[in-house]
Amino acid sequence: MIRHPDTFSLRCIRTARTVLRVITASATLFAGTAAADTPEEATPLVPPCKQCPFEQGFSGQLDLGLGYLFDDAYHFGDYTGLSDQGLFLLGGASIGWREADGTGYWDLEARDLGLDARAVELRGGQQGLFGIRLSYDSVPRRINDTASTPFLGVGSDTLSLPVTWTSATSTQQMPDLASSLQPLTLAQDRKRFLAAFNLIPSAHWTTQLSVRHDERDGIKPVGGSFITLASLLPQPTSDQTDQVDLSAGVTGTNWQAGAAYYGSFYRNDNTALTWQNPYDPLVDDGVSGRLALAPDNQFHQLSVTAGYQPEARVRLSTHVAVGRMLQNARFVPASATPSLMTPLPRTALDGQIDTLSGRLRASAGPWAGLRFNAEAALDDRDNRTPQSAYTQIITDVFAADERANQPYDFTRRTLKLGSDYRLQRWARLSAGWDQERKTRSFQARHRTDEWKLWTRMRVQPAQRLSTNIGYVHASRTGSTYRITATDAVSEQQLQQAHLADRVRDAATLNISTTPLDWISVDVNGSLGRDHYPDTTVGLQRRRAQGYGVDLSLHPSELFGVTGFWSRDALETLQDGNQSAADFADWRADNRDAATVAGLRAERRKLWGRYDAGASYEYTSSRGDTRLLTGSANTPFPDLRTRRHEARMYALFQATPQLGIRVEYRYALYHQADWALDGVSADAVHNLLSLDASSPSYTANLIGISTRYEFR
Amino acid sequence: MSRPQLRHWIVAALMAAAAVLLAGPAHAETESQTAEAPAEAASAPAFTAKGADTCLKCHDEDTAVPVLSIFKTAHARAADSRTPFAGHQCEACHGAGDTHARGGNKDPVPPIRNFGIGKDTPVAEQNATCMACHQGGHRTQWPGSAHDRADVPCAACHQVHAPRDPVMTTASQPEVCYSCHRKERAELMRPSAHPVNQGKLACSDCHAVHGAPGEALLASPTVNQTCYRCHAEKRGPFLWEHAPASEDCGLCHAPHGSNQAALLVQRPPWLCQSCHAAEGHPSVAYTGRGLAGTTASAFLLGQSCGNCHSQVHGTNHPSGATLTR
Repeated sequence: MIRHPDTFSLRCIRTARTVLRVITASATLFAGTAAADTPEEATPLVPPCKQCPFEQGFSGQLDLGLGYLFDDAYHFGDYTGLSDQGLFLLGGASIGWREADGTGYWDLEARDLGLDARAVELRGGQQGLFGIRLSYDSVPRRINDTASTPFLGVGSDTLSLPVTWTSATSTQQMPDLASSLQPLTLAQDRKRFLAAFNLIPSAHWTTQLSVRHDERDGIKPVGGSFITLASLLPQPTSDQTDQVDLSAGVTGTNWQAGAAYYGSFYRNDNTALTWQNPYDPLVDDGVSGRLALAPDNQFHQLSVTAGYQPEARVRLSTHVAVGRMLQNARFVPASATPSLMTPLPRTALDGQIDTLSGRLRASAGPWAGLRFNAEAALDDRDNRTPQSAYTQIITDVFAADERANQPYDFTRRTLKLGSDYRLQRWARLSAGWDQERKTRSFQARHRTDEWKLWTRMRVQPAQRLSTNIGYVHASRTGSTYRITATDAVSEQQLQQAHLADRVRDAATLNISTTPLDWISVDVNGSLGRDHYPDTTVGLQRRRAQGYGVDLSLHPSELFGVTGFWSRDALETLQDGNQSAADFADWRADNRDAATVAGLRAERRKLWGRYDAGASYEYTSSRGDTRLLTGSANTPFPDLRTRRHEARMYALFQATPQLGIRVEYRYALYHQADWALDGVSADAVHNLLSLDASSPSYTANLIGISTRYEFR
Repeated sequence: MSRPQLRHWIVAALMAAAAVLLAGPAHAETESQTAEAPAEAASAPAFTAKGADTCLKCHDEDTAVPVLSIFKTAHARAADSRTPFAGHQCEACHGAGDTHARGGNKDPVPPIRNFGIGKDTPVAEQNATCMACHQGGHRTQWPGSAHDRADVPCAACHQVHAPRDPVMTTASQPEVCYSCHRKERAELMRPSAHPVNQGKLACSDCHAVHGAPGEALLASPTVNQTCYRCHAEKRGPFLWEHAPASEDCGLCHAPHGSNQAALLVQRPPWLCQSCHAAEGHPSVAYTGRGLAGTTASAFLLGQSCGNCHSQVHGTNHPSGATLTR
């Protein structure tokens, strides 16, 4: 129903309505035979509702306005598109159409239309019969705009240096470096298109086909080296991924089943990145290097899923998926150095990995309040890629021995048994035992086994108080850790982090209370500890702790305040051996901590016509690294990130249809990272860096827009 | 099928059979306590004669429980025979309400089935109501899944009366999930994080929240298959693989967020040194002496190990065994 329509808008609406009816009618005919038996006639259990205001016709809202960003704030635009100072369009829409006394519908959603982060989605169809979904989403990745590089041809797969370039043995001796540096912006944009169609041929069947196309374009940094003479290079990204999901499902009275196909097809416009050697060549004709970029590849997967409920309290379900990864892109030559060219055993890999995932779940409740759960699962990665011996031309500098590729297999088997038991109406206890076995080929340890005992208890001693406590203990061991006589002492003492024996303990606590109807308070805490008892070199211990509080106040339907604060800390201790001693002779103590907080307040219908709100978010992270080597060491400065972001808005409802919204947004971001800051292009003699610094910005944004609501 | 695989499946089959046997005899004595779908509530009170028209005498948009927005949703399409409004209307979900309607002036009002956390209606009954129609599709794996076992009512996440259910929209979904998942909320606010808070990625893009075949309710059977949906360039197969990367992206990356760049769980070179300790540069203690200055170290600054070993996800270069090409 349209309120206060003018002639023009009425005409537009009538036209649009006619078009939509034609489309939905056409689609209905298209789906006709399959849907001949649907929709089923509704049983008139009660008389048709006379007072129900069923939605029909058009309704929705349009947002249109202008925003202004007062500062250039490149990193502020990461995923938001708000990078450049200046005006931008504020545009969005949410429009729906419902067929009168029918099942036809269309919904259009659009947001951030004036920004690089715009997104649009259209849904429509005949409810209960078919549905269509079309969407577009742009995801701007803003990595860094402070970089610079002497390389020319940025964005292409061949990087060269200025013709006047004079090479040297170190960056500090490159005479043309400073004068050759050109600004470089590191960014990557992803555009995502989706088209999906679902058809409901009968009340018990559903089918769906969706096709998704992702495009990425941009520049990101990548390292390339000649032995230990390295450069950070602008790597072009220009690739596409197409994904197809086709599925069908059927439901019975006490069972469900489905089958699906998933296909993923990746294409890269660049097969390699070749760059001119800025250093003095280590071999006479070693004037350039070449990196292989990600090869085109495919993945196909067929899966079936089923659920069966033979009794009200018994449930069986299974899911099995078989897949195949394929890759047969033509190899790049073994070396970019002409004198080191060597024949390859194959022209392409003919890579193939078969995957199998199978799960069987059973859930049974022998009596009220008690339920047993069991799950057995298998994930297998069977690498069938042929093995060949490849002469290794090390970083395009010299020929080393042949190496055979190692097609890596991996199998994971899990068995989980658990139960949930309601002790009392106010107490519930859950406990379980999980067993996991992983086997791997071509690894230092063929097999690892981990068992885990866990328990959780939920206690609600009072209507307004609830407590959750959890505890986990796990232990990982495995087959003999293989070392060879030729391994260095430090390697013989090593247990790799993901293969090492490990003992894990973790505990969690949550207390929730609502002392009054309009107040709720949540307190959370967690402690975790990983201990590697048999490792001399490698990870020794990892300790994590976190705690936080959430507060929610809603004194009325029109006013609410929520806030939270939390802090998490992680300490990692690891040992190393650089002097071939019988013992570890250095220790690294890395401590990361992050504090986050948020506060939000909203008031609706203030003085009848105003909505207003404000929010604030805060993130602070800190990294502290200490190296203990038995002698005095230069300490590392802290790694720090601080982010403050505040928003305020007010919406004035001038008429029932028209609102005016004013928004102000403030952001302050500062990061200090010793791996980037001060690392100029020639700061490291054997690293030609990108001369970038950590992002820091202040952003002020104001927006004024009108909102037109109609129905 | 290899012998260990066969053994694995035999154990699984025996386990499932044991569960069925265990539950079977007990069922008879407990059936009366099971949650009832609305249409099966044999002992339920009578339905009202006029359905929603009765409800709307008391319930409108200005009462404590506003209801009229339901008429903007897919549930309120009488022409779709599957919907509540093609049947008992409000009572299709809220249960037969004649007693409730006749007792509207009493204090307390006779209860009716209601939905959400902390409501009088048991969670099992709430969810059985929804599952009576929504048991297929994504919900096939719901029974016994993490959220089911945690007694999460459907209405804890879904606003059935809202014209646009916030949990069904990418931009507004995270706030719904954060109401329980505080740790993930904190991680996604860290300096390096997936763009969930920017509305560019929904929790449900990676997690099948109604039950999933894989760990942590992941949408694909394994962690890596989930990641490859957006990062297909890292899938390979590569000529030279980096075994941990092929096994589990989570060994090096914290999927929700991290203090370190690229969501790494730890900063290089120490992340790499937790697995690589060969004599020479992998075994060296990199101290503050390597910071920018006179003895600046390429092993520490820039991309650290990645300055040379940049192909850590694997490479197809014939000379890339050390992941430098």
